[in-house]
Amino acid sequence: MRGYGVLLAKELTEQWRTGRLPIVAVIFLIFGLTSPILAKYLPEIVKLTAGSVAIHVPAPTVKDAVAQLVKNLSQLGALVTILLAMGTVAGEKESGTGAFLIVKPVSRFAFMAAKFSGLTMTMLGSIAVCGAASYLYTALLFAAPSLPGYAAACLLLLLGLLVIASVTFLGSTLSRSAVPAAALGVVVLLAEGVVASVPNLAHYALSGLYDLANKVALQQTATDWFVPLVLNGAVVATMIAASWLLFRRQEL
Amino acid sequence: MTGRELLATVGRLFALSGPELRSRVADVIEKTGLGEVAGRRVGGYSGGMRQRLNLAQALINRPEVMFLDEPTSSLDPAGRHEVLELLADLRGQVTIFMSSHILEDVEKVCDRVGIIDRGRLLVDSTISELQARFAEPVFTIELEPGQDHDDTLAAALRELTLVTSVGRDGPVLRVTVADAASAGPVLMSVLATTGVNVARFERVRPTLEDMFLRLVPSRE
Repeated sequence: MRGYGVLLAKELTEQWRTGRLPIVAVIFLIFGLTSPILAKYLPEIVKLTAGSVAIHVPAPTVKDAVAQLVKNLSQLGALVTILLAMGTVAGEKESGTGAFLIVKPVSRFAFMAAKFSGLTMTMLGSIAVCGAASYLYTALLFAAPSLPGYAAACLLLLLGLLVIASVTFLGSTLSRSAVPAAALGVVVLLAEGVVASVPNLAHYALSGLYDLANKVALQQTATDWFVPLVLNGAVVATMIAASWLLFRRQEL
Repeated sequence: MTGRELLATVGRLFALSGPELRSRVADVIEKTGLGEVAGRRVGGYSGGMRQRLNLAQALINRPEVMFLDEPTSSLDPAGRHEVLELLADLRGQVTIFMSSHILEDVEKVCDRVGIIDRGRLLVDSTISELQARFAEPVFTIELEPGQDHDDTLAAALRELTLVTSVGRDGPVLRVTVADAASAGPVLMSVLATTGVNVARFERVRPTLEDMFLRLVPSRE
């Protein structure tokens, strides 16, 4: 993987300089901070909006805080992920930077690996910030969940977002523009919503992974954890491999 | 990314590091005259600066040969001049293969030219050899303005046996001779004896464009 380290350093520098890394980290921090707060004060909000209508809302618990976090990341977080990943390869092809780098002593595999690694690192950092903020506020407003369980849940959420990122990454490799890449990511996100509503299939899709994250954060017994974990991991690996195979023969 | 950072990144891709990398970056920045803008972001560079940066990054590993495809295309006259000057400065340091449709640029910086038509190499020679090969036995004489000796001069030239024809294009006389090599001194002596005030006297040299047009058949 000649040149991987240099390209990864360039990728991270660019992510930082263009503001992508700090912006995504701040957005995820907001998700982390607001999820437990929203869960805590949702009954109050419902009462205020209901006016004279009596609505009984059960007292929120840690479970609601975790569910809110999972919901925010799996929906809004996924959209942010698409925005982050859509120009990863297409942008380089459009600006000519890709062609400029490929003629240097670097392999195309190293180029693609550095691109996806940079994306993963930005996502990992953002999820870490989000998880830390969310854990802290959940502990303050409710009760402290198990730290290893919460950390594992964050990693599962990261894997879920990486599925979306890898599909968008493939779209970005297929196209010379970021828009079709984003469209592919959104289509897959919508398709996932459809699959999640089918009882027998939901477990194998991203929703199965998010359900697992919920249970792991709350230290509930999770059966059948193997299938969603391996299936989603395989989707990420397949998307990356397909992207590389396509990029290998592409004229830039 | 600034120009300097980009050059350092390219240097690292060629496994350069530490003091050697810094010295190579400084060297190519100096060679390409990017010193004043090396700390600025590449996004704000003009076309000429970008092209010089492209050349700088291509030079960082000290290549023996460089292939440049249309290095001056899409540049404004100032940018074109900068790039051509830089290429001329690299003479003796790097062998440069340059493809271009701007034959004036080729004539300015290249020692040797090859003309390719539909994938076939029509000619491969030095510019001076080509000029000698395609040169016509023609001299031009331009008199200083305000003189009325041009008819006298034309008549004197026509009397010479080595002169085959004398044409006129405004103030310029176009003299075709039988033997260009020996005609120069003879024509100059005629100019001296007729006492005309000469602004320009030269052997007509074909430009690369003239030679190209003669070598490559028109497709119309």
